[in-house]
Amino acid sequence: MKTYLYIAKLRMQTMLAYRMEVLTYTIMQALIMLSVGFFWKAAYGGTQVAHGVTGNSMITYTVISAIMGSMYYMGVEDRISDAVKTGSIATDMIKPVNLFGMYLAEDMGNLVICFFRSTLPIFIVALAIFGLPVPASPQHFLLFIPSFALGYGINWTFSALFAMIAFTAIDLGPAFSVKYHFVNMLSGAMIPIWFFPAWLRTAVNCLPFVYMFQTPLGIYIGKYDISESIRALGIQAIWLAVLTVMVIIAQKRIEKRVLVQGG
Amino acid sequence: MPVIEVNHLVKQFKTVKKEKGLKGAVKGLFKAEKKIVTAVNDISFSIEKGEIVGYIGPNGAGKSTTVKMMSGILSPTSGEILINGISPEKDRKSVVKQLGVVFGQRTQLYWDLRLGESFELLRRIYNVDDDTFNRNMKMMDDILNISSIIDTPVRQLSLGQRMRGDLAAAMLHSPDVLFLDEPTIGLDVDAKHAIRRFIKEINAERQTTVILTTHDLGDIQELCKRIIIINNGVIVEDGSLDDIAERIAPYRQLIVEFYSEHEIPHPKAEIIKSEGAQTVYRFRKDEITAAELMSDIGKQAKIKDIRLEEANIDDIIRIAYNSNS
Ligand SMILES: Nc1ncnc2c1ncn2[C@@H]1O[C@H](COP(=O)(O)OP(=O)(O)OP(=O)(O)O)[C@@H](O)[C@H]1O
Ligand SMILES: [Mg+2]
Repeated sequence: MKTYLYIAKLRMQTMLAYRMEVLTYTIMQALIMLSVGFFWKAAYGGTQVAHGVTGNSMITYTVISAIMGSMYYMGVEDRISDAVKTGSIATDMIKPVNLFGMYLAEDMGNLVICFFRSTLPIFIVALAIFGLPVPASPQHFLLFIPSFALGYGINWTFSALFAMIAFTAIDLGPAFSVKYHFVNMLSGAMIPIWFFPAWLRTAVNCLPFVYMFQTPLGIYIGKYDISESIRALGIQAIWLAVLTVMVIIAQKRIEKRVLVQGG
Repeated sequence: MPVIEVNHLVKQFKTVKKEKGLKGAVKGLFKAEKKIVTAVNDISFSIEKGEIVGYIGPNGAGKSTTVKMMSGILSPTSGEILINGISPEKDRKSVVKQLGVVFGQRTQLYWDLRLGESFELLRRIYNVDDDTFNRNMKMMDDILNISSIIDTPVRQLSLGQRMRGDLAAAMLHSPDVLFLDEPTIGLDVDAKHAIRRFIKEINAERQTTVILTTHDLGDIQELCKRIIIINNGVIVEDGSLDDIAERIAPYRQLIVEFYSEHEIPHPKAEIIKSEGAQTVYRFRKDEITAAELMSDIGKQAKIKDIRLEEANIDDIIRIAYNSNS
């Protein structure tokens, strides 16, 4: 365990060496949050409630979504694809550690840095412009926390699984950015799924994306009542378990057929 | 029991042949032409504790591929590897615990952080107790002068300094076996010397088994009692440098200087050069001794000076490399 904590610590130190990257990323996220927030303000106009959600709740939704997004830094994706492309996986594999344990520890390090570098500034901007994003009730807030954690887990395992395709198909090209936009659209990060047509909603509910963003967000703003929320947590837990098993299987298979490039 | 056993090891890479341009890329989507490269083709050897083995061969011979399989990074297409009785393919973690691995062309150190941070991490990964850690650090410091670079970020280290850091990192957990893939690549004379001294010393003090790939024959001459020569994925020689020389280049040269110009033939020696008062004879050790040859010649003309030359290592290696290509 102390090994993985140290890995997280080293990752934090490394992140501190890269200021600009985080800064531009934060500014971009804050701008997206502001434009989406103002969009909802304009879209609701005089309307009070749409799909059982008020305009103010939608702004809260947007702010919390930006906050979550700033903490969902999935370093594992680049980590794995770089390791394969450059062959640096070799130096990861000569260490007697669990590769994915190491990558997860690194992302925990990223999470801490992102919290201070992105999440807090975004929160402050949101506070200044839209006011405090209040949860529907204290109970909803308490349920939001585990839902957010599960959402992180689903996102992480999905990213790891996706990146492992890099092991088998070394030239992945634009797949990562395609995936990014897919997640963005189908997770409810920008537009909640309840605004989608019914057929698309059904389809999207069968994919893991909504459980990354929309479930915790829906809980936060009270779109789901308490019992619905608990049920949603259950579905998230199932998805996380399924994805974790898939990661473990894929890892076993992939360690067997790594292609190490160069030298 | 041997520390390392390799039996009928084979590694094939399937590569997709890429055609040029957009047309080729589109074509590749539907009908990719596969090509199989056999990097390692049925090799076997076994290595005892405490040996320093030079694993050499021309570029693309399959050296790095073998090292990667032995360290559990690549899995063999067929065949078996056992390190202290354990297969790296089946139980990577247990095997790598006993290994130190250095790839000269890449680093396991954290690029953006002080060298010392990487050591601290490795200490935790391998669960090295304080005593051992301090003892090992002391030893690394004595030979590799680590303390002068320990607080420098790795990306600011010179190649030679980085290599020293990588070697120290590989030895922190006192492994039984050390795999060094081109540890002296690109280093100057001093740095090479330090690294050779390091290898000699850990081998002498700890009985560490070392497998070393290199293109620097100085490394081989100075360090390796045994060399394995691989070419096109096949082992072509395995033995001591002397034995190999004996077998593939059993020639010696006797350079004789007379008082005046002479050309004295001898049935068991070939004259390969005769210039002024100097004649170069080439002969086989098993056919005639240098003393006999000298006395035969000396009977016919007065000798002023002689010099005896063995086939040099470059020649031997070149002959071995060309024997299976
Ligand atoms: N990932 C890979 N995919 C396809 N072919 C590969 C791969 N890795 C190595 N090869 C091929 O396998 C052969 C052996 O390569 P290897 O790296 O083991 O050579 P080497 O003996 O280490 O050479 P060098 O002295 O140049 O380092 C080469 O023909 C190389 O092209
Ligand atoms: Mg090589």
